[in-house]
Amino acid sequence: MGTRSCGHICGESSPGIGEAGITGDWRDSRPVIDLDKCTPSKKNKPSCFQCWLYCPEAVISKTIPVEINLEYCKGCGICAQVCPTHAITMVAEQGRGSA
Amino acid sequence: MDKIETIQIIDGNQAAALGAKLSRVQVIAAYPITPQTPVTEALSEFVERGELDAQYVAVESEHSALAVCTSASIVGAKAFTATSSHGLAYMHEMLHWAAGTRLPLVLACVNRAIGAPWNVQNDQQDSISQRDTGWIQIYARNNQEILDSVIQAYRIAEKVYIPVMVCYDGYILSHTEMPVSVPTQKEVDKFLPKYKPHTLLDPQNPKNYNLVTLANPRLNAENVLCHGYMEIRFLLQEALQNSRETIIEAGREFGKLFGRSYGLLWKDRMDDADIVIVAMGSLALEAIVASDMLREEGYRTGVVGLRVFRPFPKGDVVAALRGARNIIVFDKNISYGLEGATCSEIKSALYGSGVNAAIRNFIVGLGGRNVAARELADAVKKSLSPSADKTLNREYPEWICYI
Amino acid sequence: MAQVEHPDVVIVLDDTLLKHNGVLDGLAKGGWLIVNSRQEPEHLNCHGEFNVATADATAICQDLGLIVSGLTIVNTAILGAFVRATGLLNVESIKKVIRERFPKADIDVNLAAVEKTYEMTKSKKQGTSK
Repeated sequence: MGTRSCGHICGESSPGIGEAGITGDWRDSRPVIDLDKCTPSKKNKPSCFQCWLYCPEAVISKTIPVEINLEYCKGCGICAQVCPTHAITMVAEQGRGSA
Repeated sequence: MDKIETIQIIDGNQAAALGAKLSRVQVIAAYPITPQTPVTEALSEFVERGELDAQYVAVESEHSALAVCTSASIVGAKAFTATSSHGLAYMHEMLHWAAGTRLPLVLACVNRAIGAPWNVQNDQQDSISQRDTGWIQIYARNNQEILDSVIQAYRIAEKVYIPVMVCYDGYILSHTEMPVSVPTQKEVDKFLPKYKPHTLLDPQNPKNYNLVTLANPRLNAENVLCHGYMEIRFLLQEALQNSRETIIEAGREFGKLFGRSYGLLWKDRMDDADIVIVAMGSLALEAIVASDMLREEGYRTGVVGLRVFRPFPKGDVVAALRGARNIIVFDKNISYGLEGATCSEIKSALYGSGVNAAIRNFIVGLGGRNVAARELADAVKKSLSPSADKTLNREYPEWICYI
Repeated sequence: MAQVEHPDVVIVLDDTLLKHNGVLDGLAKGGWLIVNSRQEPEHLNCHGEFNVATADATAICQDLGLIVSGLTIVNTAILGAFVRATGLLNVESIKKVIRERFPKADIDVNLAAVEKTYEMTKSKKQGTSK
């Protein structure tokens, strides 16, 4: 398994999507947005976006409608906590793995 | 022809500060501690007078000092610090960090005893205690070697990407004035090539350094296999092993420019010696005085003064000790529970080499205890006595002190 | 702390040190003992095959105000006594170095200390009564 192809002599990385791996596998529950309650999605106008601002993994898009990249979302639930209209609920993941 | 050097009567601290100044360091962060303080004072004066174009960062501790130097170095600046004893201990974790990040820092360690009990005088316990951190360690025997080694340290460090610690005895060298040839800036500029950092913070090419690195190698986002922790550590050891060539080359090129060559160790009268004294730092010069005394009494003594302690110059030590029947190692330090560090490492180097010599270890000079050449000579004679095995401790080192 | 076991000159900056052992050990025959003291050389009670000189550098330095944090600094002044007694250097060399090496503000007072001490030094060569 030995290789020097990375050329690094100390721990180093460049920013890149998925640098830490497919972290979506880490979560126990996923955020689900109720678009009827989500202010920008409902009003079709850029506003709020607190979930985008607070997401520590930058997997929420500042778009209309708001979208969450579930390949990388770790299910921390911060978006649900900060949403002022309680538009986001954390829903338990059910048996995703299979042999 | 322009003079390339002037002779100045300076102490070891001034020599270290001049070495850093001539190396054109860009960031200095250091915290005062006896007997290093005059180094920080001299450097801050150079900066204030505009003689050195550098940032002098006042910090509140040695840990912060090395943290600042590490940060400066990681963005490509040439950084310098100096400390002693407890100060070196205080920055211990950052020593590991700097070596693990492969930063070409230079640190002047003014060797001082570590408490408890509290003592501000000389011994080498401080730097010896840090020999596992991955730094290159060079010991100076006099003030000329301090100045010259600090300059060489930057050339070595920036070539192999390993930080270098230049160690010299507190008070004995740091506060004692002696004639030193000080090279001109022009000549030092010829000797030190431009630094090419392997780390840089560049918004066009963003990087994350020293991220959590797990046990196993991993594929990154570009599908390149990146090292696990162990591979990065392997590379440091490999670089240390290979740095021998760079250290020798730097010493040789320095000699070509300035007339003073440097290597891994110093040899005095080793051509026909079968009794060899081994010591490090200023003690290596005292050992020569002792050796001369013994020669006058008919003993065929020689001295090996270790200059580079890390990477330990195994091959060179073995070659130097090839003809020895008796080796007496004087340590100004002790790895408590065992013996002097130099002695252990000499024994380790000799293992399997076929060199069949009796090795004796004496602990001397701790806490600034005066070491007279005569005491060294007497210890050698005791080691050679036919009853040595009965009178001297076989398992642990002898101590030259009042107990 | 020094490795000099056979000095040619021993300079003592505080004469109360003379009551301790070892101060004169190894002093070479015909060498010099130079002491910062109010006493004349013959009253120091130091006898041997060496010459003795004294100068009251403390009084000179106190008069000149060479005092730092309450401590009278005599080490430059005593060089005047050293030069006067041994003649190994001339006093102009000492003064030259002071002018070159000392901070501007300290030059004049140190020059004065050396000159005055040089003038006031009393020597007694070995084997003479005065």
